[in-house]
Amino acid sequence: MICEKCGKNTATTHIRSVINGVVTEKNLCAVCAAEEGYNKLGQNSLMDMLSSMFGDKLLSEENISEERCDCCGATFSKIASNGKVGCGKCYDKFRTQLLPYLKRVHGSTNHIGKKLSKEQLIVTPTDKVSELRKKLAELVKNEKYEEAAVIRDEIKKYEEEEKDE
Amino acid sequence: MSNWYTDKNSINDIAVSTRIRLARNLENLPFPSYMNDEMQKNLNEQVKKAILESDTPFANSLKYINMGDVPENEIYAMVERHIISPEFAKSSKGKAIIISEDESVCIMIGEEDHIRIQVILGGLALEKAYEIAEKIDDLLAQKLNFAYDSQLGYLTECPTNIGTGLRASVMMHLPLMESDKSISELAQTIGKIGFTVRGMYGEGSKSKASLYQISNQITLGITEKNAIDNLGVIANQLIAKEKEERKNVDTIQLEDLVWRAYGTLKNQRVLSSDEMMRLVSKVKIGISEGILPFENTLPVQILIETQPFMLCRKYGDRTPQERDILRAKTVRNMMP
Repeated sequence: MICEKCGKNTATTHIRSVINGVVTEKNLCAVCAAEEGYNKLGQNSLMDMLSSMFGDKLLSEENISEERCDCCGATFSKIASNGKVGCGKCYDKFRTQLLPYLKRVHGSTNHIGKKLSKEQLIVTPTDKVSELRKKLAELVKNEKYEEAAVIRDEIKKYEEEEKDE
Repeated sequence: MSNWYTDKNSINDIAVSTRIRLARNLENLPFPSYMNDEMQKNLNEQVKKAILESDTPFANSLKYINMGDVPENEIYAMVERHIISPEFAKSSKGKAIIISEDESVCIMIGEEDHIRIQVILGGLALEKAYEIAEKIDDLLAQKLNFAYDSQLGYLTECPTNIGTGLRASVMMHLPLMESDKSISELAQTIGKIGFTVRGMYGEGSKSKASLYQISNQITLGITEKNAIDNLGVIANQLIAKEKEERKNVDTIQLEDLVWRAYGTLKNQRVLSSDEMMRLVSKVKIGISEGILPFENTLPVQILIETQPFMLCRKYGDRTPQERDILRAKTVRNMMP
């Protein structure tokens, strides 16, 4: 569905209001919803913060990828609009979009705590670095510099870790 | 059986209680906000099986409860006892919990994440509480496939919980730090290092009875041990600061304040929730400073057991006016 206001972006916010018994419905994109003041509906301040952070991103990036998660069908704009991720697989699907926000919230993009005991996957730093380099090249090619910077820092970190060892 | 606020073995002084929460989700199932009733039902069964069929002595001490079978007064009384979250209570229909007899362990199924393991103990007991939570986590991990990513750790519905999924918090009684406003300075300072200060009943709630919750915010790029250790250091510093500020108060003034509060609680006939909390807070200082010779668990026990829904649970539905009279009577009887 296309936004009723700008007629350009995908509508991600559905607004239904009842005034004197008259029901009106609107479908807006994140940008227009923010303009109309509908981006601060959440009660949870943290959620507001997240949504507005994701909202900023949408404002700066016109081309919203409307790819869907294979598992739950969520789109990135849906996740961005309510600050809630659809399922575990979404983190893999929208990894490059989510990493800059995780970095901002937590100051890191790497889990160093308890590992899932059943996890058999052993990824060596070298494997990880070559994987990240590929990702970096792709992001630069697509001019996604903010996300690329996060990956670059990660590569640096892995390389330093290897040096230490 | 005693629970976190009546446990006389715990040192319930400036640090009133410790809570550990671990967020876990299943693979291949949408997160709770995107789940339908059928998925919730299925989730309840999977978690129930994973715990209760593990047949360990620990698992045998836990009980599975369908929230649909719990009367509304009791649901909100659970919130007042800090066993379930207010958010879970509001949308508890179709959901379930697994709870220990002493209520120190409660697994909420279908809160913001599929599984929320919560352990609550009296006093400052971060390591012990985490140890119990981890035991449950290991038990669940044997039977369930958790949503986990080698880079991002445990995956959660809200990105603020990703990584360890650990939220550790200590509830603290800080009346002196509150009165000279050093609590708001503190909130700013510890905010910068990834911790937060909130009122007694969590997010957005106003502090009553000078009770504050200090908890970690960051869950990615930090180990569970570091998060807990850092929180422990902050809690101990706050205890030291609160104690120091108490030393600076004129003894007779403090005694007067405490005994007046005691006198009122022992003699009143109509008691609102707010007044009760203000007075109980003063009695708590009195016990802590050796002015009143009572059990250190008494103030928080009064505070919890005379909350609105705790009273309705015991006496049936009552109007606020009736509750104030019942509260007055309950407190008079509880005061030594």
